[in-house]
Amino acid sequence: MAATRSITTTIATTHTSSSVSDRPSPSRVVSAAAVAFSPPRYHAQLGRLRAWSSAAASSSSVGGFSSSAPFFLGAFADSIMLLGMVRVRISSSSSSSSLRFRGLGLQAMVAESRSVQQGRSSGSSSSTSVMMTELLPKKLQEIVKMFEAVPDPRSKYEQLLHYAKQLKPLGKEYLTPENKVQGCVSQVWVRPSVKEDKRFYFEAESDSLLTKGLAALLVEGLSGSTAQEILAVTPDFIQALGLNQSLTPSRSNGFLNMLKLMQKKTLQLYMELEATSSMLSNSVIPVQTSSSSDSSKDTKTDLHKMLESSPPVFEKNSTMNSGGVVTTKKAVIEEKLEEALTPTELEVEDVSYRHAGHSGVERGATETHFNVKVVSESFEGRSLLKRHRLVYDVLKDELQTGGVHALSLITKTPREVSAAGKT
Amino acid sequence: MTPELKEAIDKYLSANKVVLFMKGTKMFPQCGFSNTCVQVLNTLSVPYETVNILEDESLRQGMKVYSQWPTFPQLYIDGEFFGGCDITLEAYNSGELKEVLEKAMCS
Repeated sequence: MAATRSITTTIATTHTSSSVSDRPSPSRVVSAAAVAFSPPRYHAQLGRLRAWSSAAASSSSVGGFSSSAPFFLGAFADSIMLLGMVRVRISSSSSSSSLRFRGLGLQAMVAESRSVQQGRSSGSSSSTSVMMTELLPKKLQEIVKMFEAVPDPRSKYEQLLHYAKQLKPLGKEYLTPENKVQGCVSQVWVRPSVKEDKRFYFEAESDSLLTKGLAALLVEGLSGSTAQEILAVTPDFIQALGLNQSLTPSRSNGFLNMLKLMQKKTLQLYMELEATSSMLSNSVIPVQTSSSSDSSKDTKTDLHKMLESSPPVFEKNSTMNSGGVVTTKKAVIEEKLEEALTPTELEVEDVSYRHAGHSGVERGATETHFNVKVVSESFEGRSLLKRHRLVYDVLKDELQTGGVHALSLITKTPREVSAAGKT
Repeated sequence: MTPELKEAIDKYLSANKVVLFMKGTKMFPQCGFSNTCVQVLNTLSVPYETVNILEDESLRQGMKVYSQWPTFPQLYIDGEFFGGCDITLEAYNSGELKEVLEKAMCS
């Protein structure tokens, strides 16, 4: 144990004088890693760590961390990636928030990576995750892998809370309805921005710590990616994070909606940029006009193709109105009921978020549960059962093959409504 | 909907006065609507059977055809389809459900 302690202090002293000294994280993180290595089964790694620390101590203090990093990296397999990631994050200046792993989370992660090294214990989850995560922006991939490596739900939860605390506050002027995530139990706002490198960056705000953590996770995972990368993200990774035990179904769906809003806003911003850039090139250099606008058109159609193939992420009243707009189930339901029952009152509300994670509902499915209120003359003289049957008949297709699982129905006649109003 | 399935359902419904086709079981409902029906029936202290349609996809589809009702839960009283969760709840609140159940129990 004395050996461990001396290593810890060696690392600590090395790092406090390093170029990243304004951030206390490296020493804490690495010392936590050292603590993680103290159980007997890490003796071999401990030996290597000792060797590394002596090399680190002898090298110059400034940049000491980064110069000995390759040695460190060479010594450990999976755990390297995690710590290497930490180093990269700390030194990067472009990210909106320097999120770091808590000592506890890293400890567990390292422990897990060690067991993965030994026997591929979580074999099935890692193989599926490989398939999915390849489509994700790099940062998000890393986050997913990190969460996968931590099997303990409590650690995952704490990691989320940690993210929340790290999230930089969003300016009050951006807490607008357009930036607000719909279908979320708490209030969440997201704001995208784009830099000269054509990569998108996000900021977010929320009034609840947990949703803040979720938003921060997405901010960290998606910032710095191109529009195409962001739009290609499918909700499958949410499953891979394995937060199901920590999140209620409504939270999970809120998380999904956060992603969707970020994607929607990315596209909007992207379109605006493309529009202005092609306008600019039109006016400035007539000769190059055709080629630049063609290329922007190509990207547009690529994006549209991507959108069409992926599940619909936009609501009916999206500002995008080119040919590829998708109609929502909600809109279809409203239309059909209008036509068939000529209601005096019609309300269709998507409450799928309350049922996300339900058994019998596919993960990531949207528009599965609706509250429907219909007031129509056609219900006159019909029993409740008959009225409901009528509505079900109209929406037969949606229920059979359209993925709608349930409709909560309120069916009244105009007379009943006015009678109720009078009492 | 095979004839065997239909026959099996017919038989089951004639053998049990109150049957709830639901997601999950009486002890472990796996859906909010199913749970509502379970709680309602529990409150009325009426003996009833539940059938978990999640266990068998053919039964799940079969019941939708049999009842001409696309969703679950489905409540059957005295071999006749009574309604889904909304109807059951409304009938419970109006007192109608109690009446119908009492009648079924006596017959």
